[in-house]
Amino acid sequence: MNYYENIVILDAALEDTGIDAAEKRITDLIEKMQGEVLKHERWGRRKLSYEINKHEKGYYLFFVFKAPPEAIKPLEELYKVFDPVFKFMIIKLRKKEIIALQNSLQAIEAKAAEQPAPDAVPDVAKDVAADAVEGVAAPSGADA
Amino acid sequence: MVQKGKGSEHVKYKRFMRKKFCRFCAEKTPFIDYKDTRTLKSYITERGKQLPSRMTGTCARHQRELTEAVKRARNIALLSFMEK
Ligand SMILES: [Zn+2]
Repeated sequence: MNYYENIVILDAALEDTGIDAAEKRITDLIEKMQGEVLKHERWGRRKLSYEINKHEKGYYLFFVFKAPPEAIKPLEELYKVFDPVFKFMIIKLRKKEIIALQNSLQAIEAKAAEQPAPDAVPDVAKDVAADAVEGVAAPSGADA
Repeated sequence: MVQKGKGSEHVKYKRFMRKKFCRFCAEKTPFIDYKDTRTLKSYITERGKQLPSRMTGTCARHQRELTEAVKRARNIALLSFMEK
C-alpha cells in the first residue's frame, strides 16, 4: 500500500449535484481498488493560473488516499474519459510527507474526539481561498 | 599604510552584506509543500520564474526540493509558467 495525494480539477460550470456525483465516482473507484480515502477536501471554484483547454476557472477537489500501486492506472484511465475532469495530478507521498500526514490525521481525530468539529476549514484550503480572492482582485498586478 | 586602508575598505563593504540563510533549514521544515503557494511565491519572480539560490540563500538541498514543488504547483495551475 502506498500513500497518494490527488488533485482533480472539474469544470467550474458544474452544478453542486454534478460535483457530488463526480466526487462519489472517484471515491467509489478508489475503494473498489482496495484503497482507502483518508482525506478529501473541496477547495472550490478557483481561477486557474493559466488557461487549460479554454477553461479559466476550475473546481478543485483534493484527495489523500492509501491504495495499492495497481489502483493508479484505472484511476488515471477514469480521469481521461470522465468529462467533468479536465486536469488531474496524482502524487506518491514520500516518507516525510507520510509522517506529516499521519500527524495531521491524528490531530484531526483528537479534535473530533474533544468536540463535534464546527466544520473545520483546513489551513491549505484557507490559503488557497485567500489566493483566489487575490487573483480576482488584482489579475493585472504583474503587468505594471 | 596603503594596505591597511584597503583592508578597512573591505570590512566596510562587507558590513553592507546581510548574511543570507536557508529559511527551510532555519525553520526545520520537514518538506516543502507544493500546495503552499504563499511560500513558493516568495521564491519566484513576478514573471513567474524561479529565483536562483544565490539570491535567496536557499541551500542546495532545499533549492532542489523547491524546484520540484514549483513544478508541481505549475502543473496543477496553482502557479503560472509565465506571467505576461
Ligand atoms: Zn536548507
